[in-house]
Amino acid sequence: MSAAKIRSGAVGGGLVRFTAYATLVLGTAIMVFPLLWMICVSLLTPDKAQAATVSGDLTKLVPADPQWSNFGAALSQMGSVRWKGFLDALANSVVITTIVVAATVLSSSLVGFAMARMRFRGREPLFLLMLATMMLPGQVTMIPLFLLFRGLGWVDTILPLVVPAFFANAFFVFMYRQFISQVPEALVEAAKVDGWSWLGIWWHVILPLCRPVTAICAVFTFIYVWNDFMGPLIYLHSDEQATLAVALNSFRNQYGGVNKVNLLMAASLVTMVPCILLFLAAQRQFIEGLGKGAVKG
Amino acid sequence: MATIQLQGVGKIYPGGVRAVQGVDLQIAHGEFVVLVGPSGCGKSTLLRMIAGLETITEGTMRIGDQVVNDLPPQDRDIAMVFQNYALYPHMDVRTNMAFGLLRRRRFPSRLKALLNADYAAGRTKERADIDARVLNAARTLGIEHLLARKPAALSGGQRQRVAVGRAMVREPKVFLFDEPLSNLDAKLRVEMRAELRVLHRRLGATMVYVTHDQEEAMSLGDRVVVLKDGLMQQVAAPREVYGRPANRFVAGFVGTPTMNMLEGSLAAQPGRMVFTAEALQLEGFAQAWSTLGTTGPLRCVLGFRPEHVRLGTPGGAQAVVEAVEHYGDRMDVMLKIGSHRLVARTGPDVALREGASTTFSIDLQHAHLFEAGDAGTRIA
Repeated sequence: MSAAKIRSGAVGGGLVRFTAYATLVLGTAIMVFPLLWMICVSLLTPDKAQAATVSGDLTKLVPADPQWSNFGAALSQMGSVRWKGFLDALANSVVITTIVVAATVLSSSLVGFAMARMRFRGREPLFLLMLATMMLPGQVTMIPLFLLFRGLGWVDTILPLVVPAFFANAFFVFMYRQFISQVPEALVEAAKVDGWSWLGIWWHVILPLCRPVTAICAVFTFIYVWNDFMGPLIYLHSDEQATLAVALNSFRNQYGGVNKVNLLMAASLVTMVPCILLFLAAQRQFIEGLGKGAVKG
Repeated sequence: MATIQLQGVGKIYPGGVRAVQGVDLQIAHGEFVVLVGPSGCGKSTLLRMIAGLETITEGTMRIGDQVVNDLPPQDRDIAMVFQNYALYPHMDVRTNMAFGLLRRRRFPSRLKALLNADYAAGRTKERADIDARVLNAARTLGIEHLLARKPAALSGGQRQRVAVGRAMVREPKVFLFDEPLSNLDAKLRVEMRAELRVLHRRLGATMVYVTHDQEEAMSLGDRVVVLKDGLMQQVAAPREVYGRPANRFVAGFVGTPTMNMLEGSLAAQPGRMVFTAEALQLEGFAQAWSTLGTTGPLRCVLGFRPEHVRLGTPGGAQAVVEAVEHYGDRMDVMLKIGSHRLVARTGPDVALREGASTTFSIDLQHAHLFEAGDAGTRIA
């Protein structure tokens, strides 16, 4: 009887597992298909790329003779001066993204720490007010902010894109606060007794313990800022100031829509690489637990 | 001099809850004082007030000559061992122990060290000093082989040692311990107790220790402070707390099994004093009791330790043996006399059967009289 039960259980379990895997494989395929399509098209000759995109025939996507030179060609043709457009845009994107990621992580964790651990009058209302700002769509604040930054003379500089990051992001403050609330209070007290100030405790104790949140905050911010199109489009007007997202759009316009779709895909692919690499690198941090061994387990 | 003086120290939490009140306590340099009491008695709050982790709402506290009421923990030159050890999980043992010293460096800047050779030399020497102090403390505690490990890779006892080591390397004025042994198993707890005692003797530092375990308090403290409901009940050497408890609470809290208490009345008769509790009548009392000057019956409580009950005494009072607990080296015997229950402690070889009758007497030289009522102060 038990053998029969076990067998039927095994069959049932196998079916569930098969269904689960099938669903996962299907989901992954749907997610990965556009990326694969991009990779394939970026390796085709202009004619084949055109044919493949127009016909919709998937078999035509296979790059029998991969055109690796497409990447060099695409990047060098960005902007008016050979290579300069791409390198300028890359440098701008790297600078803006680096500053914004660092500033967001530091400011959000600092505010989150204060909200979680410091006792001061009006803390809760302040926190709620801050959360309320998350409800405002970006489009609502776009014009007032533009007027503000224009008044400050910051248009066509990177300041409107990086300065707000130093004033924390409500969503990440919320995440940090929740996470830091779980850190045993005794750790903060021990650091106080050890002689450290609030800032010292934040830097030496809290921030290192917040690695999982920091990873999420950094990766999300990186992806958002790296791919941000509206911000740079609104505030950065000259070609020298353009970021990769804006330069990519100019590149598309420059070559008349989809005439050079293989080069467009090659350029797009290059701009995506840092996001993919960062995500892979930070993946482990997402699932890392908190406070292992901090207190008796 | 690392003395601690508390004058009328109290703590009222926002909302009006009074956790500690009117604590007057002088702790001498190098003294080991244990705060003991049941849960919620305010002992941890008092310790945290000494540490600066809780504000003082009443009274004055001095460490050395300095009033510390408004001084943050950073500036009090104290070290604390927490109940859950509070080791920084992302740092190895070496860094955990050195963390307090790193804060107090005279040459902290890496950048300045790059630009200035003298600064760099000072920084290197300072770092070497810190390492030496950490190693020294680690050797004392027998944990030098663990210095490179993270707290997660340590056992409870090892973590406890690291927490003590972290306090030691700082060489603070005062060591504070907040139930540091309560997370250890019984055997390790006894071992660590002895180690802490040795450590105190070796360091000669002022130590304040909080525990709810009266045995721990008695075995560790030069003096024991018994607290209840935020009020000090007695401050005395362990022997005195055990032998001359200030009131019924202290008498009942200290000692295992707990002190026997009989409610009754005391009356003077020609040449002797007689204590009567229902059918039980005890007479021929200690000299000290005759100074009470009572003639009429005085309602009071008689308290005596189990080891002061003698079993099988000829002509003693009758009792029924309810239960016998064997501990190898001794036995605890539960006796029933009318509606009273008493505990007697005796040697391991006494033949007693549960349910059988026996006789007993009380060594009244060691018995105490308390005022009637739960708070009863000792009157003799």
